[in-house]
Amino acid sequence: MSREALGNFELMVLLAILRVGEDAYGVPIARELEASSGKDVLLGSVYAALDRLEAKGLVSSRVGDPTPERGGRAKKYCKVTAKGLREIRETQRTLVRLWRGLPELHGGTA
Amino acid sequence: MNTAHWLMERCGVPQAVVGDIVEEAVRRSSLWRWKQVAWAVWRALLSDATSHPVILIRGIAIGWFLLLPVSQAVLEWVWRAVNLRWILFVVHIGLRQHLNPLTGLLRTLLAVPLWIAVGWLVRRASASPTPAAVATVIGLMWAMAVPSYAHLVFNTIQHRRFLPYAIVNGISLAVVSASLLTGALWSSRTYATQ
Repeated sequence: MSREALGNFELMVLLAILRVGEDAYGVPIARELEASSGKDVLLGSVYAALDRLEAKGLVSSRVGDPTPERGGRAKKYCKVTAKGLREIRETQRTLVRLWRGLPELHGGTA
Repeated sequence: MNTAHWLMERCGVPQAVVGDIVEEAVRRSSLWRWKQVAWAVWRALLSDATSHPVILIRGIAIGWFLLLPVSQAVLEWVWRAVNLRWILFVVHIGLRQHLNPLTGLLRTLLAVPLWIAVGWLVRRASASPTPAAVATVIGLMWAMAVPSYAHLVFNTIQHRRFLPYAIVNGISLAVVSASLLTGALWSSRTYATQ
C-alpha cells in the first residue's frame, strides 16, 4: 500500500466515478454517493476530495463546455487514472485481508 | 438563487462547483441549496488560506497593524468634533442615564464606513480570490472580544443595569464584522476559477 493511504470518502468518490463512467462530474458523483450511502452529500466536499485525488495523481480532469442550465458554467469531468485503479485494487485487497476471520463482523448483529 | 450566486462568485468558489449547485438546486429545497453554498464558501476560504499562507498573513498584518489603528485614529478625530454636541443632545432628549451605551452605539455607527474601507483594503492588500484574510481578521477580533463579552454577559445576569452595555457591545461586534465583510465582498473581482 502506498504511503498516502486513501481516505474513506476519497475511496467512495473514486468508486462513484467508476460507476458513473464517462459522464462523471460533481452532480452525478454526488447522486451516486447519496444513493449508495443514503446520506446528503455536499458538493464542496466532493470537489475537495477530487482536488486531493488529482494532487495524488489518482484522478485526471478536463473542463467541458459551458451549458445554459448551469448559468453558463462548464462541467469538470473526472476520470480515474491507471494509478488510481491500482490504488483502489490495493485498498480493496488490504481491506478484505483485514476483514477476513473477524467473527464480530459476521451475522449482522452489533 | 441570485444572492447565493453573488456570494459564491464573490467568495471565489470554483466555477465548476457553482455550476453544479445551480444545476442541482432546481430539483432540491432551498435548505439544501444554502447548505451547499455555506459549505462551498467555507471550503473556498479554507483552501485559499492553506494554499497561500504568506498572502493571507500579509493581508491580516496590514489589516491588524496598520488599517485598524489608522481607522481608530480617524474615528477619534471625528469623535472630537461631535462629542460635546452629542452629550448635549442626549441630555436634551432626557436619556442622560443611558449616555455611555448610547455613545458606544453612535461611535460604532460612525465607524461603519471606516470598517467597510478596512475590509475593502485588506482584501485588496491580500490580492486573493477569496475574502479569507478579512474572515481571519474578523475571527481574531471575535477571539479577543469573546472573553470580555462573556464577562459582561455574566455581570448582566447578576446586575440588570449592565444590560444596555451588553446589548450595545453585541450590536457593535456584529456591526463591525458585517461592515468588514461587506467591504471585503464589495472589493472582490470575479475570478475565472475552474
